Amino acid sequence: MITRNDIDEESVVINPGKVMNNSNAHEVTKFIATLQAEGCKNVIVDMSQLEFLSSAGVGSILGAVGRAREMGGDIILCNLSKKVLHILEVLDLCGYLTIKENEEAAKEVCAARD
Amino acid sequence: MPVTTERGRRILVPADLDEGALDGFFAELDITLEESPWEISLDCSLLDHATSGHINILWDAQTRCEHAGIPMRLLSVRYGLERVLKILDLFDLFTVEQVTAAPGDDARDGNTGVFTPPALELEIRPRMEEVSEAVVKIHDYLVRLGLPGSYAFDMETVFYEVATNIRRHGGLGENELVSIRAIPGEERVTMRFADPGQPFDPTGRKTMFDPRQAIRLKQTNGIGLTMIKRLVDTISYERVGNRLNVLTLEKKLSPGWRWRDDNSE
Repeated sequence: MITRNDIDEESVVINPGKVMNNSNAHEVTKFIATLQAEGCKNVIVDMSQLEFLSSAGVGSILGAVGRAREMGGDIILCNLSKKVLHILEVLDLCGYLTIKENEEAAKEVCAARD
Repeated sequence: MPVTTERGRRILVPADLDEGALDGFFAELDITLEESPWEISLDCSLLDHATSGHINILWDAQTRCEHAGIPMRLLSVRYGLERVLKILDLFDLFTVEQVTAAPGDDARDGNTGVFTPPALELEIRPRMEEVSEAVVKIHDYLVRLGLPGSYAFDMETVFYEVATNIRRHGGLGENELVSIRAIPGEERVTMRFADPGQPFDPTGRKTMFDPRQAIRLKQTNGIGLTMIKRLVDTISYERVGNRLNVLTLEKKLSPGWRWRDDNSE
């Protein structure tokens, strides 16, 4: 189950849960797309619970980042485990995604964009 | 009697080379071939002391299987048989599932001096919940082997991606089975998938993954294949008998890796 915590009108923190794979990637995609349709430019994805990130989960993130940047915002990933970070490293994505150590640092990115 | 598994058939190779035993073995093999199983496994566990006569049997069996278009593997190959096959330069011509010590042998006193744990065999139907359950089994197995967490995670991820690709794109019937084997070796772990789905050779697919483009284009396709190729060291594909996809993935172990033998003192 995806949880949501609004920071302000343009920024939200979501937590996708333990896995992002074929079982729920479409749900995450839809959830973020709905937020973006509501005008939310910045979405912080709190990955503190995330234990498994499959290619479907990566695809969901890439789509969300693409849309966010078209809106002038971003998707900020935070609280990544070493395993999840490793998957993004394997795909050479770390240099192209906004990844922060924790939620506070992620919120600072949002604040700087306001 | 051959042992029937959901995947294929297993036939015991006799140690005794008298005429009756040989006739019985080949009769069993021929009957089994007529039933067109997915594959045939020859159980070599009785061949502690392999001779040229045994090699002839194996070679003959392999030839018959090839003519029938049915893949054949050697199971429970003892060090003695492995040695003879290597001396005769035939080892690479067979698909050998696992080299094991004979019961009571000390594997570390064998020819290679290396203990290798038993393989894991799974069969799943192309359903999301069965893939998820199998991931847990793979995880538990790799943890039991004592592999580093990062290595085990890579293999679990590869397993999930391959199994999901087969499930989603293989065109399998809902009760058709995908066979998976995880085989610990001396220097690597091999994961082999066999499925009766549509032919698909991932090794022939180019995987150009440009992160910048992937974000701009909101890419969702091709990510899994890129992950698979980057998480393992080798991938090979074989279409067997025009009815079975066999995908073999290998990931090297760190140099000097030694398997933990829980049964050792």
